[in-house]
Amino acid sequence: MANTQAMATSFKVDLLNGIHAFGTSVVRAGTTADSFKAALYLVTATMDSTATAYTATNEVSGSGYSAGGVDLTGATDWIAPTSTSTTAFSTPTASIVYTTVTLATAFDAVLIYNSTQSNKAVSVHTFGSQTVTAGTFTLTMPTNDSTNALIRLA
Amino acid sequence: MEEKPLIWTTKGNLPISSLQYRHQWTETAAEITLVEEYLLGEEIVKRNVHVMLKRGAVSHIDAGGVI
Repeated sequence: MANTQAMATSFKVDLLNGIHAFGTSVVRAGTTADSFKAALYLVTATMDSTATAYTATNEVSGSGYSAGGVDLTGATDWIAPTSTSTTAFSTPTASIVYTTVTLATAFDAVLIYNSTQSNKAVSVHTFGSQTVTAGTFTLTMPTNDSTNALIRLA
Repeated sequence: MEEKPLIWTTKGNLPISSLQYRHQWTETAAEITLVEEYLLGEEIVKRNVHVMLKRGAVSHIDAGGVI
C-alpha cells in the first residue's frame, strides 16, 4: 500500500468550521457559528476574488434596501459543512430575499460576508443583470452537494 | 361588499385585476430566472425577480510536495 500526498478532506471541512488558525486569529465569544449577510452590487462594480470585506462602494441603493443588504436567515445561516469525496462544501439554509425593494439601477452580483468577523468577505456570486420595481428579489440557493454547493473547497 | 385583492406597486396598493401580468423564464448554464411584471397601461408598476443559482463558487486547495 502506497502513501499518497494529499490535503486532508477533514481539514477542508475544519476550515469552514473555523477550527484551525495558521496565523493570528480572533477571540471568539463562544462556539456558535458566525452571522453572515448578503449585499448586492451594481453591474458597474468590480467585485471579485480580491474583495476583502463588505464595502458600500457601488452597492445598490433604492427604496426598501438597507446598506449592507440582508441577513442570511434560517435556524442557522449555513447548512453544517460536510464533505463528499475530497470536496468540502456548505450552502445557506434559506433563499436570500430582498422584500419590497425598488432597485432601478442594474445589478448583477451578491457579496456574502461575515458580519460577526468585521464584515470580512466570503464569496462573490454573479447572475444576469436585473432591476426590481416595488417588488421582491429572491436568490434561491443551489443544491448543497460537492458539485453545486454555494461554497466548495475542492 | 366584495373585496378586491390588492398588490403593492409604485403607485401604492392597486387591485390586481386592474393590472396586466406577464412573466418570463430564462435559463443559462449558471442560473434559472423568473421575472414577473405587472403593468398599468404601458407602465411597469411592479417587477419581481427570482434567480436560482445552479452552482456556487469553488476554491481548490492542494498539498505541496516536499523537495
